[in-house]
Amino acid sequence: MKGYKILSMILSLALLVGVIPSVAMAEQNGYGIVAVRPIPDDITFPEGDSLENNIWTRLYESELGIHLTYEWMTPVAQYEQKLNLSLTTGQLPDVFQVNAAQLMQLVDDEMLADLSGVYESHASQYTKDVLMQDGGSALASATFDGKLMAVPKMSSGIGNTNVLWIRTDWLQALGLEAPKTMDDVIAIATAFTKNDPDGNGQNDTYGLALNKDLYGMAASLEGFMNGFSAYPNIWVEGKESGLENGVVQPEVKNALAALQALYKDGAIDPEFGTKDGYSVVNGDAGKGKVGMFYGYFWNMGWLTDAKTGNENMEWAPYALVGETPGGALAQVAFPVNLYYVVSATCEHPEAIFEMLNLQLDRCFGKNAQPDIYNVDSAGRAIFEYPLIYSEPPMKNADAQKAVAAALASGDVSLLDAEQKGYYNQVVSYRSGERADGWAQNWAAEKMWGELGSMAVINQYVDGNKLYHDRYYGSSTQSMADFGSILSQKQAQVFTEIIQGADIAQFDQFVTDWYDLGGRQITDDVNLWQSQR
Amino acid sequence: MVRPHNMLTHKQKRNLPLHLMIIPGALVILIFSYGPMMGLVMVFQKFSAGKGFFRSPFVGLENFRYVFSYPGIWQVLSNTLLISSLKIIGSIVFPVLVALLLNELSGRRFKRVVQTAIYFPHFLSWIILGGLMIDILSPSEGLINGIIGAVGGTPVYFLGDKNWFPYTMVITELWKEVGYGTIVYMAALTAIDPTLYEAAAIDGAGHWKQMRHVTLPSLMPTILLMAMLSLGAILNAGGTLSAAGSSGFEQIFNLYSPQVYETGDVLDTLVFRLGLGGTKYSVAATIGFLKSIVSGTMMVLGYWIAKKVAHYEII
Amino acid sequence: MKKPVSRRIFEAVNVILLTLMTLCAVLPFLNFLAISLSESSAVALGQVGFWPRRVTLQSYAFVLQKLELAQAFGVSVAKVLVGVPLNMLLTLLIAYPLSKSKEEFPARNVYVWFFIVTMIFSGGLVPWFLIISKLGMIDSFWALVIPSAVPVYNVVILVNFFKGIPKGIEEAATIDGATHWQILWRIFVPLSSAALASTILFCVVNHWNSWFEGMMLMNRPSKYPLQTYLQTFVVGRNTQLMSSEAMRNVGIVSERTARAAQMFVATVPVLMIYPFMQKYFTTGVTLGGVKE
Repeated sequence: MKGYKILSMILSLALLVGVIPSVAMAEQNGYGIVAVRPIPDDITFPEGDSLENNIWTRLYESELGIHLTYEWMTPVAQYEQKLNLSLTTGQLPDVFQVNAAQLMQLVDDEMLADLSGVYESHASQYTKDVLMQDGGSALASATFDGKLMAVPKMSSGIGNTNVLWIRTDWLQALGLEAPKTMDDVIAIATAFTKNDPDGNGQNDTYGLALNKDLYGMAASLEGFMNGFSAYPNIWVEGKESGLENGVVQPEVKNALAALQALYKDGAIDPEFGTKDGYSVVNGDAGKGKVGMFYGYFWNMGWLTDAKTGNENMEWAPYALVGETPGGALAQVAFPVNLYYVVSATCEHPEAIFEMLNLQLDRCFGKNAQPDIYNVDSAGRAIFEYPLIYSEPPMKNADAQKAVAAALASGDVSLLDAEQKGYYNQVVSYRSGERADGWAQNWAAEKMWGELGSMAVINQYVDGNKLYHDRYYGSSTQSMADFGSILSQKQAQVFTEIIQGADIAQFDQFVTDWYDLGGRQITDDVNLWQSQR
Repeated sequence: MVRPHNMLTHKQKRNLPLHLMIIPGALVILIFSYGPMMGLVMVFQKFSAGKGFFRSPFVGLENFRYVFSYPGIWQVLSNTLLISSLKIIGSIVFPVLVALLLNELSGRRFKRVVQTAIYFPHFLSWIILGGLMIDILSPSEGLINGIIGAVGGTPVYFLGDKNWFPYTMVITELWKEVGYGTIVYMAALTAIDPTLYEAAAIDGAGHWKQMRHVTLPSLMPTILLMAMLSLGAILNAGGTLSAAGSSGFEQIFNLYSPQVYETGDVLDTLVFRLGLGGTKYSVAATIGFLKSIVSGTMMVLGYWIAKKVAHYEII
Repeated sequence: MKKPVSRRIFEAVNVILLTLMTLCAVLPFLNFLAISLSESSAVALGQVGFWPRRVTLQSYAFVLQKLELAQAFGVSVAKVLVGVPLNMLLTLLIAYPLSKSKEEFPARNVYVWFFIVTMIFSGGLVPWFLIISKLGMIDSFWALVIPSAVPVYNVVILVNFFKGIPKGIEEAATIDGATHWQILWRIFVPLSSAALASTILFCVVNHWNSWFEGMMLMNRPSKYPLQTYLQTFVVGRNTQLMSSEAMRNVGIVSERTARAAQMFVATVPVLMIYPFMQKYFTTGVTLGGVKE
């Protein structure tokens, strides 16, 4: 009896050992890819799904035979640090995301695969179109010595320009007009602070919202600076010759002086130094504590909860204004700051393009099903799930024009699936019905409608109101070496000036900026300029 | 002459288990503390992740040159010294005072309650206390500013105002550690020979005189000792207990923000930002190395003085 | 004997001072506790001081249903259950030989310096990470307990305590034929209960409170210990710890009340062992030995 048991155990073990490889062989027509990735903030999944098993990983598996596993994943705030640390082991994941400085370093260390060949052979025509939509500067920035070493994460440069978001119900309550100049902006900020725009009898509001990093997606400074013809952190034509960084130009000083005055007047939250863009917009603006901020076109998406709770809250996007009437130039940073790379030891470098082809096709191509693969009906950001993600740079600008045309004509036949979705949201909102997702529809109106934020941005494009970054080469060694120190220094000095430090500190900052490596970077950028 | 040959081997034999006992722990230390010290070679390299220790180019003293010419370095050093010395002074003076007060209590029960309460914050991490501090120190919603407002003061932005930040670090550190810091002095107080008090009482000394002539002198060696031990921690931005591993890093890292870098950035936080945030691994390691050298010298000096003055032996 | 007036005044002032200190230590926690127990609307209106308003356990219910928090709590408990015994075992095994005099154990001073040097010098983060990685310990639970298995500071405390144990006891045992091993476990350990209790508490607190290792060595947030989880998701980003969708469903919970509740959940284990341990150190801990 005992002998039999043991025998059967051995048999079944042998079976198991024998069977597992054959099963694995059967479903492994494809291959495995090991990656690492950041975990986006506030990501949500349908029941039972996760970053490691979701609609996109299953699609990779079924369509491409790519079995994607993650060696590690970490909240996005720590991704850079964790990657820097894990790179020191010398063992790279197959496919991963890097910033420009890391790309530079990895190319220098010869740790990445040359993608030139697989780009030609495996990137679909649509993928190539998207990658070239900006005229080729994105790909150029990922090309070193004529070799394509990375795939730029394409996004829209103009989609990252600022618009000015203002609480219009507050404007009305105080009898104020839409701003035409920076003086108007400052007057509105002051009025929003001192004249009790919410009518609750308490001095509990601020005029202008800022985030702790000063720049970025929401409650950012770019738009305010642009109003003073200052273009921080992009490369501009120097007063005398060559390219110079916008952040060390004297116009920045004027903008900082204006911010300092606003701060002194109580129009800026003294706690802004601890709040990121999301908490400022979703938190402070959502709670009705602040009524104006510069930010990206989609910022109202962070206010949908607040809109649900307070239907009277109303916002509108305005084009940037300058010191004199006639508007300002909105700065357009070179839109690529993240790249996808493949380890030199990866056996399937083509996987990166296979995944990109699939993502672009399902999200934006002819076969696109954006309601399944982009944003689902519950409002979940499905586009955060895939490892590789890009979007056509002109997508949103085109979509707004198409939606506006359809709203005027009622003809939806020319809309693609994604545009149709926006159109339906706007129409549903305008019907006045409180359908499910009413607040989301409100946010869609604010983006895609005739007076929406994308329309404001299309005005920039059509009216030549953009200031493009004059540098779009690849990241230089000097940027890798000094970039983070320079931006830390900038954040520190600018925050201090806004909070009341002597404005003369700006001049010291300019000197320090050059001494801390800025001169080297400027030289490298001008070398690039002269070789073009 | 007969060598005590047998004796010696006997002693060696008897000591063999002592070596065996130490070996497991010594191995852990060898691997996880001495192992990484090999990595200090990177202070002479321009270390890059891909090239590793073997292929990164050697650059001589370039990293040291960079550190000393780094524009913020002296500011960071002076921040560190300011925060450290205030914390060290405070974490000696206040615990001694509190220990003396506790010692004067007659009610045992009350004493116990006080001790239980004031020791407690020591046992919580700066993660938890960071969350607590951010909440209660907030200018708009926090408890402290609520109280300041109630008595007619203007709210203070303790964590965001660069003039306040270093002192906020000192005060919150003291809040956390003063109670627990009394622990060594309480031990010293209980060790005082009661006959000394009796003798003093017979000589007609009142409580005050007893405190001045018996209690304080008995505490002096311990006070000196703590001061000496703190020397080694002078670059940690922590208090006297930072020798025990509670450096100021955890506190400051969890509470600071760019707007207070000017006054709040200390060596350890700078090392972290340079090393992992900016991949300047070699520069970060160089600062860490210099810091170790200074701390080591101060520590040896401290122990040497402690041995001479207080006849204290660390181990 | 009647106390002089000045003495009575002093005693009164003393009691008042110490009461104030006690309040200083306790009130912030009370405030935080009250916030975690109140409805978010009352908190937002600033009505909550030291006593909760519109009491609700919703914040706790909300926090406890979060899977990640429970997982992180579990990792931390395991870390304490495995790490602390390991700490204590190695600490005892090192402290016993080092408590011998140089005459008894000639190699003693070499070992002492071997350990002390590590209190001053460290190789830095990158090499430390590389060693752990080369040993294949990244993402392993052991990475959270083995590299920190020898708390040198505790060794120092215990060595000094052992040195204070009268030599006579040990000599008598040796004559009776006891081995070092037996002397350690049968004589030294039972005689050191107060010192051991405080070192155990140090170890528990160290393990419970450490967060940096978790952040650097673990590959998934699901493997983070509690403090790492709190650092990344609650303190590190002061935005919010829940999706706004989830927040809407439980209207009386806000970010602030939930944060307070999370913090209290994380404090519970310390609160639980604290009363058992604190009687050992109300009499104080001797640091090192002062030779008279």
